[in-house]
Amino acid sequence: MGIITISRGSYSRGMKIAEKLSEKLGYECVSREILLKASKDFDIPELALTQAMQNAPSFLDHLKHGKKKYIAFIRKAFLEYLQKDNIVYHGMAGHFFTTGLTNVFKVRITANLEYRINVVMKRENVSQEEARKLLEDLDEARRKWSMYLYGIDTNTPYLYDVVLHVDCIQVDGAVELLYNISKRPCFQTTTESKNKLKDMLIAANAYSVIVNKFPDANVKCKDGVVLVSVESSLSAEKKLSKNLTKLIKDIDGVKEVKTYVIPFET
Amino acid sequence: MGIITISRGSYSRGVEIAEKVAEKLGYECVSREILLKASKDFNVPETELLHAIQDAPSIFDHIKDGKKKYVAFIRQAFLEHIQKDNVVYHGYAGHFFTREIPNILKVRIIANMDYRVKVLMEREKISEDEARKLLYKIDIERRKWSMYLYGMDTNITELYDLVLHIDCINTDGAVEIICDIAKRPCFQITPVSKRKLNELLEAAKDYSNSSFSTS
Repeated sequence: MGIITISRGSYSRGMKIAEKLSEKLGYECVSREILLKASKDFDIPELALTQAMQNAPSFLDHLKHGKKKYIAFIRKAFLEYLQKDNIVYHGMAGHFFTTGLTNVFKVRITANLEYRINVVMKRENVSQEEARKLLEDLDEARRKWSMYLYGIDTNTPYLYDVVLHVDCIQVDGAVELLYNISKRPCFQTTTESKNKLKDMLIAANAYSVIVNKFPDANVKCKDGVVLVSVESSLSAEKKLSKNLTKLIKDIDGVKEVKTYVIPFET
Repeated sequence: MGIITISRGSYSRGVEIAEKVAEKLGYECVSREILLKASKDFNVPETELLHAIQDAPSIFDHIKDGKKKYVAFIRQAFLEHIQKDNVVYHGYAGHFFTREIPNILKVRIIANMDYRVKVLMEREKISEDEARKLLYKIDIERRKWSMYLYGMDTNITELYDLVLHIDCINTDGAVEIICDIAKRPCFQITPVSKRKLNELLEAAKDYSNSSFSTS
């Protein structure tokens, strides 16, 4: 009974590790399924969601919050999927989406640049120089993406329980080691962690409903009580509160909606 | 038959983990011994060596390369000591000193700031604010030190085979995980890694001799 998120530097054999680990544990291995679910649930083309997850933010993203909206949808689909438990997720942002869920085993797989260049050259049939350029561009896009959305670089070790370098230990060694660690009591799903995950799903669902109008809203949930903080003028507080409550109250699991207006700086 | 270097964020329980790993594997646990050896071999006070490897570089270091010289002495003492094999080293810069040597298990132990603040408050009997400030200062010094000498931050994950965050795993869990990985074939010392270690030691001796003779 557990959930594992595997963040992987591109071309670091992370996918192979995720697949083998899930097979060994008898867990479901999930990645693209989340995008497909979000695409279906919110009626957005999968390609648009993939680009929102993969590409560095553009100038328009900063103005229009398009990326934020799509990621809110993906996050909701992801947290809904996790409710099933016994999952190895190896898509993007799993470690960000599960921040605060201490029982989720968060792993990062890395490899030296030279190792990754070799993998790219073999897989994409390109020269060493082309492979290096491709990896540098990919790494930079990931860095900008995570800095824009979460204010922290994906490479920061503090985001993970374990960071494993595969150059020496190789794929099978990594799988064995992660299998052993995942069996530890601290990474088993508990009633408490299930309840917390439920609350996070409710909050994600609530945010996905209001993200178009309030992209900067902060939504939290504790035992079914949703707290929404938004920046607005104090004179609009009553109307705003009514609107937000109307949008959120019928979401599955919501017991109460509380709103908190942060006055605009004058 | 193996060598493990454990780099640890200060107040992240790294010493305790290193000691337990060494005990469990039957290896020697080494840290200050390296400074004492360097101090004796090169006739430099231990405190000066400690400052060289612990503190951020001063303006004089940039001009006189004093820090570089002392670190070279420590590096030589370190490489000489680990020739013995079956060693867990949890002092400074082990991951930098062994970067080019294959089959050495390089581990980093980290903990969240709140966890470290708690450990520091308990150990030094100080307030939360003081603990936070002290840790911030220590982290900045370490970063400046490694940037000055090696051009990279000690926190970069690519420097290690394994980074363990102990908030959830805890010290005993970390010990078991490190012992598990240390027994794997790829972390056993081979004739190739021994030869590389010897080559590095010879190069370190040449460098120290030239630095020593000009001091």
